[in-house]
Amino acid sequence: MRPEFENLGFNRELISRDCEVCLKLAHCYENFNNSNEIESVTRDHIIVAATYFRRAAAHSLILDEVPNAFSYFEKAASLYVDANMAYGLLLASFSPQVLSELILVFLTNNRNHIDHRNTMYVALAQSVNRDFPTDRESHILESLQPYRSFPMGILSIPLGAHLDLAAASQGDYSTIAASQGDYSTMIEVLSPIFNAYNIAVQTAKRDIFHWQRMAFPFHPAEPDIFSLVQLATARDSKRRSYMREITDSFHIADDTRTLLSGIIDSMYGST
Amino acid sequence: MLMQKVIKGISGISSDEADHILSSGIICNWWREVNPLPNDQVPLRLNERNLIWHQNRYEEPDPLQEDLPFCRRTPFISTTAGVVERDIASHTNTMTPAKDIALRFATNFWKQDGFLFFCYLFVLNKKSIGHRAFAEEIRELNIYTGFSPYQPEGEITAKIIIPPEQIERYEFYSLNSVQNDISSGRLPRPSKKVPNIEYFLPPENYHNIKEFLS
Repeated sequence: MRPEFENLGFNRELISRDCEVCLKLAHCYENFNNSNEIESVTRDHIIVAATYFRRAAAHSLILDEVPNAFSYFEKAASLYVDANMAYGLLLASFSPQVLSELILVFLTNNRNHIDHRNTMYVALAQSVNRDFPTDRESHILESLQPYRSFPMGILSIPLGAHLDLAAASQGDYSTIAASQGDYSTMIEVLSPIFNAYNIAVQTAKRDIFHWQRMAFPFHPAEPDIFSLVQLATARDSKRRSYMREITDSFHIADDTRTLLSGIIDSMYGST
Repeated sequence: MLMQKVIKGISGISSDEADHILSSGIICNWWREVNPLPNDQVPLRLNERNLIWHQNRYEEPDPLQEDLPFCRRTPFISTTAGVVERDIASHTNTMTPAKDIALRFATNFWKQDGFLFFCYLFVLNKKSIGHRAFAEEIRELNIYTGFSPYQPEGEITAKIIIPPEQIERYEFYSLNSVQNDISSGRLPRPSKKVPNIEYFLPPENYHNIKEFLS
């Protein structure tokens, strides 16, 4: 665990133990057999397995075991996509190769129709590609505009914030108010995301029992946040160099900043 | 009224204590701390403020209880029935099994042996915080409409005591055996199951179907 996390009240031993159990339970649910109480793998079990991998990955980010975290995110992403949840594409942002493969799988499995919420995750995932957006994808992004206020994910971040991030991550600043260069654009698009994270961390910290045990669905190393950071910097590595400066510039609580900066430093240190 | 089956995970007790619970029931921490329980205080302690503290501020000092951690004198008893979460963004409902949640708490987050007590509680499908006989369905979003980060714990909150008639059995999980099971890809199996033969009254005897006389 990073030394600066020691003062945040985490119990390293407990997190490490829970991480190990999450991985094992994930395998149990992924590979049900007749010796278990439940006789066959259902879609629910695939999702339970994916969620255990997701939790193990987030634990690993706190433990500063980033290669493990990325590998568990890949597993979670694949399983979510197996269950036909485009959310998996968001988690695949930690691995460009896997992301490309999963986009293909998801689009192949959903040739006829993708609803607007799943479309958002597909559009976000595709925004890391150099040739994004094609005319068709531009049309899809435009069609999502009426849903800008729609809440997405565990922190209910508005769909519009994702749209702006998708646009900015591939260099299109036309929908951004403060188009005064890449740095200020990044601040603007990350602002609603980091603010939601700050509120969630501060709320969660108030409950000592659950915070110390990380016993809630929101995680201090929330995958929904750090996968968006990963997407924001995927196409332009120079952004990584000033991401730390950006996190320092936000008006957020000190312990939120400690988490944010620490995890981002770990992520970029290992990629 | 419904009878809701739930699981209560308990860590740090011996087999003798688990056996004793089958005949004496599962009591709240307040009762453990203050015995005999001041009966006239019960209706006053069963209120919304304390339920919120039980759910969200469990270990914080409670100014109404001499700044003791709230959990020391909580009149509530957490149990779980599992939960389905609604993931609006992906148009998907996802399930968390009750046994996984209960076992995590029973083993003190995979640190020690644990016991799962299989019980049923009476629920009204409405808030009934002041009624000690009825449990609160904290996990039900149509009843507890305020956002709680802990809704996915699938909590059904009992009050004061889960009496022995409502406890069907306990299962003992040795941590070693849990680790062995999950390491070999099996869901954890109990090392011991002890039915509550003497005291348990099956809920099936009280449902709303009357048999004809024959």
